[in-house]
Amino acid sequence: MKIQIKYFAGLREKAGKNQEEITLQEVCDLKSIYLKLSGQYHFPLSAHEIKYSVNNEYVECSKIPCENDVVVFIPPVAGG
Amino acid sequence: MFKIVDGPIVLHDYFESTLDEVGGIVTFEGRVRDNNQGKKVKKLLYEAFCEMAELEGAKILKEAKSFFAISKADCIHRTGVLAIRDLAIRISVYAKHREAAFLACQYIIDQVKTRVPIWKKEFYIDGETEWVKCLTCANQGIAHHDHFHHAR
Repeated sequence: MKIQIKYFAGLREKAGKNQEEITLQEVCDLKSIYLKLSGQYHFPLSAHEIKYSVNNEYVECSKIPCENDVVVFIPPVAGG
Repeated sequence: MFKIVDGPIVLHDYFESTLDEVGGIVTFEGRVRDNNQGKKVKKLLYEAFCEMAELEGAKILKEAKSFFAISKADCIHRTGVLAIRDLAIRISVYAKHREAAFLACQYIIDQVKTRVPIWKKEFYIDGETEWVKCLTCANQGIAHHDHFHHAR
């Protein structure tokens, strides 16, 4: 199953890219996906420091994405 | 109307004149200051996940309108590189009476800082840089401000 990942802020800098398509070999939740990518890119934030979104909506870290979903890992926000 | 703009906020492009029913307008402007937590700041970079930021921002304005007796509210947030004193965010709340306008404006800025996917990178005069963490959000989570409107 393929999903889209978009990266922002410190995660974008560590990944060295704005987005990518990844293929999931097995069913896994968002937190597991983040931990796997964090191992690859050495993200500066732990899984409990970020929030998760799928298709522009906040979701729980336990959500299992569907085919072609757009997943974003949200670092601590700092607007305003 | 909640909008993310990549460039200077031109006020007359986004903020209308008042309405006949409105007796008070409360405006908040967030400006870039030259210091944060003891460090001297040279400039800022704001980055946004625009699609989600505008959706989440629109939800916040809708909530404000349902929680407080206001006629309307608008918010613009800028992205890109900002210098000291630059305008980063502007909120305008229009209401029949001032109390609702003040409360709604406070609610909107608090929620924006907690929920809207916008990030800020500070560039310090010593050459260091840092992505800023919203301490309120980091320590207390998205639901932090629920008590605010439930009490009213």
